[in-house]
Amino acid sequence: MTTISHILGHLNQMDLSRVTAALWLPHGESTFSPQVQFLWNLWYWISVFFTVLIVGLVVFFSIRYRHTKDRTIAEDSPSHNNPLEITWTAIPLIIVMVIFALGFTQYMNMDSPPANSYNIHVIAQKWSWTFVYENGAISNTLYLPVNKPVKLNMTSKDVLHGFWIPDLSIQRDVVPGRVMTTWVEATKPGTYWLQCAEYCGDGHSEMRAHVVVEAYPKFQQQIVAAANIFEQGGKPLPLATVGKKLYTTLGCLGCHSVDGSKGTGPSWKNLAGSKEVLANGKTVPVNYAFLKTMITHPGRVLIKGFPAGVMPSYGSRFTGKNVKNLYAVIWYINSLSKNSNKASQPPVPNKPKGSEPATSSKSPKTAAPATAKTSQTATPAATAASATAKTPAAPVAKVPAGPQPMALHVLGAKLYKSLGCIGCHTVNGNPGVGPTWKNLAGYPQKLTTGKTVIANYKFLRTMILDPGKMDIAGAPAGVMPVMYKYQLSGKKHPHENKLNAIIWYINTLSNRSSKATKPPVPDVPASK
Amino acid sequence: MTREHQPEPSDSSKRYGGKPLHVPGAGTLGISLLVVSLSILFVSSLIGYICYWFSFPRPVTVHLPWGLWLSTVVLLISSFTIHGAWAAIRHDQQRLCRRALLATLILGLTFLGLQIWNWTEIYGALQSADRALNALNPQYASPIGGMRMAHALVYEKKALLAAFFFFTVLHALHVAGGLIPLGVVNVKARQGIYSRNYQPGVRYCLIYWHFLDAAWILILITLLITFR
Amino acid sequence: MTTFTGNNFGDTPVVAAQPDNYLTHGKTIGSWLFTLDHKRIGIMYLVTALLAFFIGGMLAEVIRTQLLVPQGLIFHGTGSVASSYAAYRYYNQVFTLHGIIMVFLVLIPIVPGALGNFAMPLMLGAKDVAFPKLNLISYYLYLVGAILAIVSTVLGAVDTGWTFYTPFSIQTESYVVVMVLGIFLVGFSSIFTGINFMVTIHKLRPPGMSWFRMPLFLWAIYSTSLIQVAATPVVGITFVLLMMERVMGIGIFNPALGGNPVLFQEFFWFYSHPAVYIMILPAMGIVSEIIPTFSRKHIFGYEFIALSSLAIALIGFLVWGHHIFVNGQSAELDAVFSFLTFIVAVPSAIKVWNWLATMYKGAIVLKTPMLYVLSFIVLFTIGGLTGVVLGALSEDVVLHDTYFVVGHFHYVMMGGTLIGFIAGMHYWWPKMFGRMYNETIAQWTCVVLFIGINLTFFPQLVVGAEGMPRRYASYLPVYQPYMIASTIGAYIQLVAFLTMAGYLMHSLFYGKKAPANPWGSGSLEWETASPPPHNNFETTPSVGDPYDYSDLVFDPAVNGYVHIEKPADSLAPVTATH
Repeated sequence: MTTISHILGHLNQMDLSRVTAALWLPHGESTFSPQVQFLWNLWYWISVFFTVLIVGLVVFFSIRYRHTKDRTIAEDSPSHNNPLEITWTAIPLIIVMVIFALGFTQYMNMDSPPANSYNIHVIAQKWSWTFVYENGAISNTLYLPVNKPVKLNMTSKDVLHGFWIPDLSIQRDVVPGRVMTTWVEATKPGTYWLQCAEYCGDGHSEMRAHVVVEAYPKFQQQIVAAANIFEQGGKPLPLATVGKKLYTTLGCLGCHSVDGSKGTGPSWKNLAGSKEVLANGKTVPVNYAFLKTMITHPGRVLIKGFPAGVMPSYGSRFTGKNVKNLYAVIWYINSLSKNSNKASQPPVPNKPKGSEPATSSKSPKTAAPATAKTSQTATPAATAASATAKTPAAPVAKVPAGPQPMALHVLGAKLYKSLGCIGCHTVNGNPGVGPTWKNLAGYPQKLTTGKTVIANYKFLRTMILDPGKMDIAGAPAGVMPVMYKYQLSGKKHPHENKLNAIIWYINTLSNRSSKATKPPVPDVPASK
Repeated sequence: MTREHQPEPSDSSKRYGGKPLHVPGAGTLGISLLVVSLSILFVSSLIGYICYWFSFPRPVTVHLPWGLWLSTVVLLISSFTIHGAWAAIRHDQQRLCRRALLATLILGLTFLGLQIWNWTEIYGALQSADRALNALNPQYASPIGGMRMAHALVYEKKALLAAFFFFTVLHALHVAGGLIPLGVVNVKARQGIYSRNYQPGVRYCLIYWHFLDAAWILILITLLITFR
Repeated sequence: MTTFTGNNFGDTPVVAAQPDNYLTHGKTIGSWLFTLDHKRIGIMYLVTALLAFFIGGMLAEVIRTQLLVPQGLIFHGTGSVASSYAAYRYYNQVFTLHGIIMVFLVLIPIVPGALGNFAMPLMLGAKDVAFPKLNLISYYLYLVGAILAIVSTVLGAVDTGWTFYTPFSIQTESYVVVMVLGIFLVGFSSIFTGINFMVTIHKLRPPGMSWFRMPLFLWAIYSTSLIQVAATPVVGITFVLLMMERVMGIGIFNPALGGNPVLFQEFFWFYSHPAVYIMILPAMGIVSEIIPTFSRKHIFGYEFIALSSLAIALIGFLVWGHHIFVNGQSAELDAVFSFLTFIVAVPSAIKVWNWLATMYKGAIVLKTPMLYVLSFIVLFTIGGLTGVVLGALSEDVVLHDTYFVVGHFHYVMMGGTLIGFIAGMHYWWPKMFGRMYNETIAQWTCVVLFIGINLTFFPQLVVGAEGMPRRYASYLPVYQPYMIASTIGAYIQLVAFLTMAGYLMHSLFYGKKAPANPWGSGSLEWETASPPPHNNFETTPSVGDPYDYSDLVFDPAVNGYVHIEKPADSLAPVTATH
């Protein structure tokens, strides 16, 4: 058995790059491709051999032994032969076992991403792909660095999708409700196609994205540029232009046309300022308030002739800190309508005045960027905000509205909601997916290793940033997202003030809060 | 090499002409295969349910209606009565057989009645779960892992109640389906068709009834484990 | 249905000249609709399934026509993205309906329902199946299911794909519930047919026909029935759960309610992979009948062919996971499924070798059924070998959900099951209707169909490997040459099928009268007249080795084969030729 695995290992270690291409398969450009092509070629030639053999025998027998006047009955020949049966059972069995073993060893390699991988979050939805990078940039084109392993964490907003890049020899289904992962290391710069492989409805065949593989420095530049949609070349863009971008990136184009043609949803052409008939028969003007409701709470009002429940709930992408996205999209809708009027336009002007948008996007510095980089609620607007802020995060958090410094634990309470902690951790002691934050700090926690540790500052910090490092007994492993590492710490957040805010908040919920459990910065920063 | 010329079967007139053939043992084999098929149906859905239940983040407690125990007892007794009917006819005790068959029929109907009573109780719980769900703010119910615990708990409760309905209704449909042939067998027994040597209808009902019992026990155990 | 059965056969002038047969036994419409005769039920299955095949085939032509140009020839937008998506929905409905009709209404029931029903009791020398009434009920369940499937299309065509993957099938605005209910009924029809056939084979074998003296078609039907009885309940319950999910929102498959969409896939494939064997095994049985008959030689390796059917049926239950390698199940589980998938490939290979060995040193008569069987061997070889690479885990990653998969299963389903069925239909056609078809046209049709199938599906293998995903209403322009070739192949197939329909219909009225045993086969159904009398056999047939052709000679007087008395010294009980 060891000999076999040795031989197999040897086969897989062979200089496969010399196998330049396999018939039919695309010229693969990732580290998996040579292996896949090697096995493909092996299979291919075995198949050609057997097909030729079988077809040849069929033709030969049909001619050589055909029924003629002189040959009306078969020659005497045995009707069974056990050694022969065993031979032709064993040979295919051996061949398929070799193919199985090679396929399996290669697959195990595909299944385990290297530890130093760059992380990209892939969001699939009907019918667009969105990619979120470690710096919070968002794009509809997948940028990949060359010769660097990239781990892809994939989620779906609605139905099953299939993440497939034929040229990089990777594929994985994206199953809603869970984080699917795969990894890839591209070996050659170039532009490839990402196609949706799992049937997902009307726009399935158009659910494509470009994959751009570039050298690492260029890749860095790309994602920095992609991080900002509200500006171009340092100058703020009109909101309608931003809205047009969002029309594509958020996938609105899948259902809403801009030329008046029929789609799954109403066309945006001449929509703003016109009148719509609702499902209940009422006629209402399409003003700003109506558009806002339709975008943020699509289930609340039904338009006649359009099915209910189809429009995805964009919710957090357009409300709260991300309201600028809403303005942008509604401005874009207005720009498409000849009926556009004051009532249908958003309450902010389309054209930014000077540097005002820059400041306005800088102000929600405290909370908005945090939202931006959560895996689920990331939005272009919020990331834009973080990118426009020229200086690194200030050590002191500011309340967006006023000059008064905000207590960190108050900010923490906000982050608790906006970062999505609320999904798994309760603050009232009720059970959740993760441990409750009520009386967490300062209390002993039992680990799966059997050890018991006190939940001090260091422990909390590790659990938030590196949730895989320790597993608390009783809580499911692998559920806590790993993305917080990039959203709360690292180069972009040297002072970790949002992390501290969260830990401060956790401290306020515990009656055993002590110096050891509190962050090293004061809760209420000294006023300037 | 050789074609064996078999002597003509004695029942050849039956097999190759005239009235439809009666094949000994075919009915029993057929009903057994049907029971195998239906058992796979029940077992696979129970396995699926248990897989689903394992994915629940936290246990939810839902109380089973106590009427369930009553219906269990009724079904178990009916299994004894039909077995009695079969044993009786094998000893040519016609009267006893008829009474036992009738008792089985009545017990089967009682079982269905009790199940309907149980459903009304569970339906109330389902409605209150729906009300609870409506009261929660839907904004936090994100499909991607960010579902709020309160939601998850209500969904789980709903899922448990739905599972209760699913399995009990599925089983009740099979009971109802079994009662029809049982009625026919009752009539036939009254006409004195069955005897010591001829009791296929009773036997088929017996096999099917034992299957209903086994399926019910499995369902009950699963419900007891998952409802806690 | 009614007009066909009522008029075309009952009043055929030629059969009236013959002694009473099953076609003329009753002439009213009611005598067909309420018949308990397995032969008539078989004909009813045949007509219904062929009608379904016609609809499914025309949908396939629509699909192929759409894909002639990258943006879609039939369903395409008017410029905006939204309008093309809305148009592509129609394409999605078309391929969904094509898949559902072909899988559930044609491939699964056609061989057991039509040919199995007709031939199995005859091959057993029996009067009927074990439960004739259940047989009729099965047919009507199938018919009602088929009608519901069509009705759901009229109400609101389903656009889920034939796999009904959740959560899409929960969210879509089409009549999934009606469609699924239809398939549920077809499933129960399948279970009842399976039970009926198993009991028939167990209990109605005539004296002298031991298990290992049964014709191999019966082994195949038996293995198929085993799968039908054991696997179909699972898909039944899956579809019930899907209906409840849509109607009541129980949440088991819906991730938005904490459910698990992959669980649906596990359930679905637990049935649908064995269902693949429900489709292919009976076709293999037909091949095992036709090859020895037309090679005038005893089948080679009887036990191996018989037991490999059973092995495929049993191992086939354990390989469903290979449909979902890339959906995130654990790699260890993937490995187990991959391993078992390779194991199940071996019995199929055994069959192919044994068929070839049967032809070796035979006296091969290249009549239409044999030509189709030879096509079957070639097409099934390609289908099987392309399946091998899909079973390899790392290769599946680059091939999953591509046109390679489409090409692979069309080679197996179309080149295997359907060609096997057509071979069987041509083989038993004289027995069914007492008429011979035009042999020359039939042979040319077979050649054209063979070319058409290869031209349709081989480019799909290539384009899939190159990177075109399946279920695409539009595609990247680089794939267009392959798509055009594939479409031309589909049109060639259409021509072949229309020709086939033409000469078969023609034969019903103007064909030469068929002898009792036109091909010189040794199994019992050829011992009776063509078409058989209502009670199948006037005299009890004698049971022998079904693959012994030594006492069958061609008699020009009846234009068919007859038994001759053999010299007494060869009457020694020898079981098989050595």
